[in-house]
Amino acid sequence: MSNTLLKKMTRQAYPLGFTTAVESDTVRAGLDEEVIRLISRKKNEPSFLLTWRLNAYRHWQTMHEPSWSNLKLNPIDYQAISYYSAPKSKTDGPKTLQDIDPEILRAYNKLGISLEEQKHLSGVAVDAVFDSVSVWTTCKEILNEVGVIFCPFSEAVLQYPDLIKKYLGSVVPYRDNFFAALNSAVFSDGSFVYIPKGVACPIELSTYFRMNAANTGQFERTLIIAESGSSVSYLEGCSAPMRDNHQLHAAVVELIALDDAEIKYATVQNWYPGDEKGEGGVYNLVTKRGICRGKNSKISWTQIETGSAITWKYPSVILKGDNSVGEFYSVALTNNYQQADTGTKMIHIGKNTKSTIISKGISAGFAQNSYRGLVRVAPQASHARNYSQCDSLLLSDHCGAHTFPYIEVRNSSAKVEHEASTSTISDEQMFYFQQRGIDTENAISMIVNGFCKTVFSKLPMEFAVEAEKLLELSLEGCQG
Amino acid sequence: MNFSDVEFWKQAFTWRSSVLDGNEPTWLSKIRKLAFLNFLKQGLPHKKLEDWKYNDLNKLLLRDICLTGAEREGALSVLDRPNYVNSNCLVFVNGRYCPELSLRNEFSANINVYSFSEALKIIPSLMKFLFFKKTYQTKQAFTSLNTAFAREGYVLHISREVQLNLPIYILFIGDHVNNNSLMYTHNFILLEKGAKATVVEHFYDDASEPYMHSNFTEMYLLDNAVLTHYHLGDASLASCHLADWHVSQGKNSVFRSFSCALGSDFSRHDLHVQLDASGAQCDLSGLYHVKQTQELDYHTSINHVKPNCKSHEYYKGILNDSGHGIFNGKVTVYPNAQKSQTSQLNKNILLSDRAEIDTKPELKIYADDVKCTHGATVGQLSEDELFYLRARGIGEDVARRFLLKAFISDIVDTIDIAAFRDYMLNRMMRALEV
Repeated sequence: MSNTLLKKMTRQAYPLGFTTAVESDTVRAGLDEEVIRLISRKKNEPSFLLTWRLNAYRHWQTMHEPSWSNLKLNPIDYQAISYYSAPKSKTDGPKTLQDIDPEILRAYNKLGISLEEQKHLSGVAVDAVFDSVSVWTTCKEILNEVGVIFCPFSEAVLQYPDLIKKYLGSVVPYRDNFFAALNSAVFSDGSFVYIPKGVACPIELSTYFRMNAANTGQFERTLIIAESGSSVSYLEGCSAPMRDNHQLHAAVVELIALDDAEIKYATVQNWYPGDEKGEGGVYNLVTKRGICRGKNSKISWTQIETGSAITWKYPSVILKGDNSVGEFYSVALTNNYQQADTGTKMIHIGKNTKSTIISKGISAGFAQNSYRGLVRVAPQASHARNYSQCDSLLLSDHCGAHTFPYIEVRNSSAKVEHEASTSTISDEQMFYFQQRGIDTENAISMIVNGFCKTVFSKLPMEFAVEAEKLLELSLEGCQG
Repeated sequence: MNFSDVEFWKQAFTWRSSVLDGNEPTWLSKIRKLAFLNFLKQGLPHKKLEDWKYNDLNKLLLRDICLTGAEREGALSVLDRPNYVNSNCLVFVNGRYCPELSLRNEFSANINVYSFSEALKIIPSLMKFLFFKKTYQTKQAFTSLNTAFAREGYVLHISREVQLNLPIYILFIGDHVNNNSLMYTHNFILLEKGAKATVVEHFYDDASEPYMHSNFTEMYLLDNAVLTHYHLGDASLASCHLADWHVSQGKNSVFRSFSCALGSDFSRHDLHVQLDASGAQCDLSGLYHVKQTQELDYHTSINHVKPNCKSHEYYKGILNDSGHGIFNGKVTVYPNAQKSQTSQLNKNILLSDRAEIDTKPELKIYADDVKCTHGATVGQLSEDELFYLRARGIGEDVARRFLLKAFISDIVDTIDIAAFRDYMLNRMMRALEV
């Protein structure tokens, strides 16, 4: 394939890289107990949460950054980051859309997310998080009718402290890993979802994270609880302005599915990936984990990862309840100097548990893309079943694709299958397309789309279209 | 003294130097010292090391060992060579070369087959050349220890374009092994351009006492050389077996390896293949079976350094009782190693709920024009197939054995030496019976 077109495609600009001029209230850079107390005070948090944050902070200080991943990270100066930044609002919190800074509304409109009730995507409720705080949540009324709680995390802390107390850190304890501990200490906002017994959430829930202020990190926390017999589909999207330095994003997502509950969690991650020389870009170091606590429960992760300079992310499922099901569908695309080390963990504990892993990695430019996965079958998990498939597509001769699947089986009735392949677009494939009058750029885009099809089909319809476009955009000019 | 005691190793090395320095060429003493320093630098393995993550290191490190004299008093009891051995055979008893038991035909001048100690006297310059390949610099602490301590082993050197048609058998026998003894053997195979050979390494013993054998074979294949290497690890369950194979391949050379591991309470096999020149090909396969509390580990790593190389791996395992199997297959394709082709498959059958398998196929690919695949499966015997056989009046035990035999047969069939194949299969089936 000709390198010129690839270069052209990779040189496309990041379309979401604009900055928004809003006055913001940013806490001084640096991290100590005082900053944590300050964040907690700003949010009027109950004391149990402050204690939890401080415990997490103290534990974090004893930990070291993990070094096992296949990533080259510039050292992160945790004292140079500001851990809280919120757009200044005139009142204590927007009561109506008019109270929100029009600049912010404009920013969201630019991102294609309208916060006005009439205009938003039909059937989707959006929680818009700008830097450290949630600015608006749509469709609250529809949700209230059926008893679904969908609100900013900080609001949930105040209104539903019992739920928070019960579930916060129950899937990802603050001791879990370095970044989870950091998040637990300083998390500022995020989304909280509670689906009561037997309720099928009538609309899609969605959170859009926007990092705006410079030199800040974003540390959000999402907690989704699906009570017995309930179901919910949730989508998160994210973007950030183009900045020369690396911004840190260390989120934690916890999902809890009780008996017969089902949670679908989809991510379209498009943080600023850095420029074509690898300058700048977001460090996306995220801990996501769900637990199928009840019988017949199901958790499904779908992720489209196209942004971020570095992605370190392993959405996992602990299959504790009998007959529970875990799924992981992922497309990770890395271009230029992006690096991704992503995958999943499926921990089979209950009987007759099933898991499916489909991972598609696409690597172009000088990017490094790794799949790292674990399938563990505990001794008591009889008749556990796993099927994993991870394929990698290489689009340039300077990039890399790596797979590190770990399979640990301790039950003789378990069936575990894993297959993986790595290849490039062959000359024969290109020839086939060109013979039919399809130019190289379109051909690559079609091949890549075909390669990812099984994953896209798992996304909610509106977003599947978006994802396809996003992929095309990220690959534009990328042809080798 | 147990294995994990670094002070013990320091003393042992000083003692070794005092005995051997002067009896060995100075360059070798120097290499041994470097190897030992490398061991100290690497330190003993621990759980945090990715390469030792799954091993029950207590099985290895808490072992008592003594380096002095491997054999007890008494006559050799395992005198009979296995029936498949019909030609060139070197026998090592308790880590020492045993010329009386060996069968050595007169080779032409083009073929050198020696024991390590003979080779140091007869072909010192070649030995120096081989040792200066610097494999002691490995990250593997045990490999360095082997280089520091090993005084025996075999050396096979085949000149240009010489094709050896009959296999060379190497028997490592443990006979009346002293309790806790530790044996080291270090071997070299050098095939010059266009040379061809087949080597069989077979380990067995009559031991009921625990002992440990560390064997390190370095293999160098120059351009167009063809080497077939068989390994049968069949030592008693009291033993501990560490096998290291380092292979370096020249242009268009072909390396074939088959390894079967049945014995030893703890065994670890590290097979490292370096595809250093274009057109090189390697084909690795293996069978393993664990029962009782055995732990067995196959760690393979293949480096595709140059373009147009091919590698293929196929390993199958059967795990019973509280046995623990580990498979790690790492393939690295270097930048610019275009047109690399690799495939890897690891299949396992678990026969017991206490058994455990940890398998980790690993691909690291830095070139784009490649075709790489890997697969791993863990499962059990099919109930339907068992039912089919039982419905035809075949007892359950026999039916199971039928199916297990069928499971391993595709790898067994690739073994070219019929007598060795039958012997190996027989041992395997017997291991499955008890």
